[in-house]
Amino acid sequence: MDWNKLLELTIYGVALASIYAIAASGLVVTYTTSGIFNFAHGAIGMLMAFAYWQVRVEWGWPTWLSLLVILGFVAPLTGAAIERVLIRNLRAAPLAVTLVVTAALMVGLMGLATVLWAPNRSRLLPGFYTGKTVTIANTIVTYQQLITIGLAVLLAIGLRSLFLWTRTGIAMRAVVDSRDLVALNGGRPVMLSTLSWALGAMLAGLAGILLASGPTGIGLAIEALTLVVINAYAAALFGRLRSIAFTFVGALVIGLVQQYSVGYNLTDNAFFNTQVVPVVPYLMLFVALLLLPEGRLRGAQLVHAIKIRVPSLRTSIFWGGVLVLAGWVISELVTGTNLTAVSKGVAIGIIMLSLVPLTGYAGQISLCQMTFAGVGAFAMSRIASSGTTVGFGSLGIGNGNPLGLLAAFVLAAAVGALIALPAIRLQGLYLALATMAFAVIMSSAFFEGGAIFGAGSTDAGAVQRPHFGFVSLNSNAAYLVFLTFVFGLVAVGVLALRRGPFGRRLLALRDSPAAVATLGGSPTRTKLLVFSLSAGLAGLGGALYGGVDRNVTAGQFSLFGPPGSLSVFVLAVVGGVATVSGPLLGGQLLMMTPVFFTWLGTKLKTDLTPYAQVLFGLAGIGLGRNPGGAVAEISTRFRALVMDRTVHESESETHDPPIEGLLRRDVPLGAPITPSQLQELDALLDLEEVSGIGRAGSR
Amino acid sequence: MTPSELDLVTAESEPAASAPEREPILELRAVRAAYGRIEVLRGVDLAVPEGSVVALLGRNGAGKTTTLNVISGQLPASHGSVMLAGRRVNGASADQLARLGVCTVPEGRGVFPNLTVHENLRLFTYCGITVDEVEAATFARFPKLEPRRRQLAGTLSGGEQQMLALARALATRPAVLLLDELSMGLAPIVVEELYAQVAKIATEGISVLVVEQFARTVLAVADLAAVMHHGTIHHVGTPGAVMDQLSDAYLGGGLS
Repeated sequence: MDWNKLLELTIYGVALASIYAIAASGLVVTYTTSGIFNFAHGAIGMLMAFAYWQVRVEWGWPTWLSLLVILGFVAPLTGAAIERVLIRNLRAAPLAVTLVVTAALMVGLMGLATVLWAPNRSRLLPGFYTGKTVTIANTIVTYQQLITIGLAVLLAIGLRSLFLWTRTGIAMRAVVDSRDLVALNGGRPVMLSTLSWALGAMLAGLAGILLASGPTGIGLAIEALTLVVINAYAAALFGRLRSIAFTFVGALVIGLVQQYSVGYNLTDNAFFNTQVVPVVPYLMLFVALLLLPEGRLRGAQLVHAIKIRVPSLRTSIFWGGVLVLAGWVISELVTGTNLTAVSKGVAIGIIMLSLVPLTGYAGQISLCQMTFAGVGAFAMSRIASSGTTVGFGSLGIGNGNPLGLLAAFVLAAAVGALIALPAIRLQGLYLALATMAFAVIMSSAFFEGGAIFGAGSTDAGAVQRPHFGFVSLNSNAAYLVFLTFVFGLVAVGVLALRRGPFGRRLLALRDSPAAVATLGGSPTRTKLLVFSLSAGLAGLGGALYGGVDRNVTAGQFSLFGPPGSLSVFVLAVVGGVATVSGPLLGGQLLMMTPVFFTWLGTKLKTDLTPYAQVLFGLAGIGLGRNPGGAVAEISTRFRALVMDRTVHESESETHDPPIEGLLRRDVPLGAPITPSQLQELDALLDLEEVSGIGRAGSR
Repeated sequence: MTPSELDLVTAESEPAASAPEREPILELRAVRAAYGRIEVLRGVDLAVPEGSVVALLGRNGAGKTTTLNVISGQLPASHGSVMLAGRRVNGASADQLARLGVCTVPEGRGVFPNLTVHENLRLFTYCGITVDEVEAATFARFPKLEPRRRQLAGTLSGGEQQMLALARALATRPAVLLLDELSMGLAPIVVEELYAQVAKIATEGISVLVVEQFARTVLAVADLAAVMHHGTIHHVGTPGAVMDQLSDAYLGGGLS
């Protein structure tokens, strides 16, 4: 046993764990006090590290002043501003909306960082007390490591005292139990929430700076830095997003496991060492989620229901036909890269359609749809290519055999079921985090390795277009028409599903899992089914998406993309994930916006491409205001113009105000309580009261 | 607003007339409030004289809890005035009113289940008293709570939780105490114990407005009783009078 190596790795691990702990405790503080999980936590840390670089290196300020300005002012003010502008309005919003807003914030901040600090030059952040070391038992420890560990210890003590010994800290914990009650106790929940976001952003910033300046080898890289701070999410989950103490324990476990797995070559397997080891924190995030005790089934929640009209079969087929016609017209008008972008937009639209049953109807959140799309593209490339290409080789059934599409659906659905089996008992936020971890794991461990999409720097894999004997899809124009046809077909299918019994079950699942269970339905089986169906549709979309360029890269199916699972989810919800036209809009937004900015950039002779990402962020953030999505909003406005009456009707249906007494009652499905029944119930209750009075009065 | 048979029993202007000479510490004048488009309070007039216990009775959906929510600042009144010690306090937030001396024990359990008893008491220190004083006052009144100091409030029994919630009223010495359904889910004997404490609180000069389904228990300690129906106060009087009127109204067939 090499004790020195163990000690060295342990010190590295503890230092890394300290950074995770700092980041994770910031996350816990914001989550507990505001009830909103901040997906943008990592991005805030990344942004602060860049801001620190700006003042420390670019402007040459002294270290102490730079730290004071960034951590003392910029970070807390950023956090407080985010809370004021975005988070405060989200308190009563459904989980999907809160996730989209913070995920969009993450996308937007990453875009902002690209705009402000274009990655065309290398930036180095100096460490603290570079070169100064102490030697402990023959092991060299840098000052930076000592400082990092010391800061984490101080933070642990500080947070513990804050939460246990100060009135503000106790009130911050009390907000978790009941916001209203805190106000009734003379506390100011709004201020506490602002304070927690300021503190959270400061801790994220500290973690970001320590990471970027430390010997972690990350440096100032937008994506990597954001992702590494996300490693801390796993630590926060060890504490179930509540306990600071367990969060620190979780951070320690993750930091040490990560360092040991890097330091000790457990195997000579190159795949394991280069592709699995980097995602160890995400594997642990996944495991931590699976180890969470099963939450209780949630009863009905009274959220502002958004009434979406479901068109009849005939109407939907009619509009599907109109869409194909429009696709044909566009294919005649548009050429070159624009045609490719429109086609990709439609293909992404099909992938986004896969979110309609899952998120729009059943209210489940998946941040790994592009992963399933990648699986679909893989299946297509293997089944329907001729001859061996790369990696696993090809089955060589034939050039563009349509069976490839079926294989894409089936394989993606199978992978979907596989991930769903362990993760399905998770609810809401935890499911979203599990799917995010899955997206990163799959992307790093499989897609990027070359085994799936071919080796080499581009990781390119050839994906054939499906080939039907009677019609050729070789021209890009014909392929666009085919894509719109498939989109229409899937959309009609999804709407048919919505009208049928399975669709009703999905909506019931979203509104009240407990009610589904009491009615004898199995929430788990329903979720499993809809999850695989959704994965299968995403796989189909992925196979078709690959066909546009006849080529895919691993990056397209990663979390960040482009296009990436995160943007796909955000823009699908922005378009409106409860409608089928929302994904059509979302797909075009995702693909056409960069095209537009590139075009504008060439006109203005500057590079505007990063602004597309900022715009996505803003679009998602704007969603906080109309959670129904753009299409629902537009159609409501449009109908308001066309016929005044309809809107009034739909509005009165939309905002069913809570009636006292009915609010917290779980109304079983299929048996709505009518107002007259309610009166009867009240009369019954009153009789008991009256008899009590009567007895007292007759005495 | 629909006129009901109860209007025949008393005129709406009666509250002021039937109140004793003491100045009302809390007064509602023609207060209206709505959840979205459904108006729940349709002109509530109610006065709580200083140092008295006023019971607010009425069937489900009559607007009792809504009335308390308006007074405590959780729901804004759309019309009318909420007067606290002669000053109009419409628009004040819940935390401001709490600091002004309106202590609300909301429906359900008015405690933080994931904080210990001690930490709950700690949160009652917003009016300039120390946590030691709060603890002394609380444990003197509810000795049962003392051994549970380090226990999470959520693990207390229902009665003990309500005691803890009531302890706030004892410690912070508010001007007005608003109690909503103190008895919910508790055994009758526990309810009586709690109301004995409410009566004691009232003797110390704290005015109490209490919403209750256990009409008999609360009328035993109340100085005045008001009956709500359909978002308005329909009559106010001494507990005895209200009880007679009520039993006449309900059992004598005056009201179906």
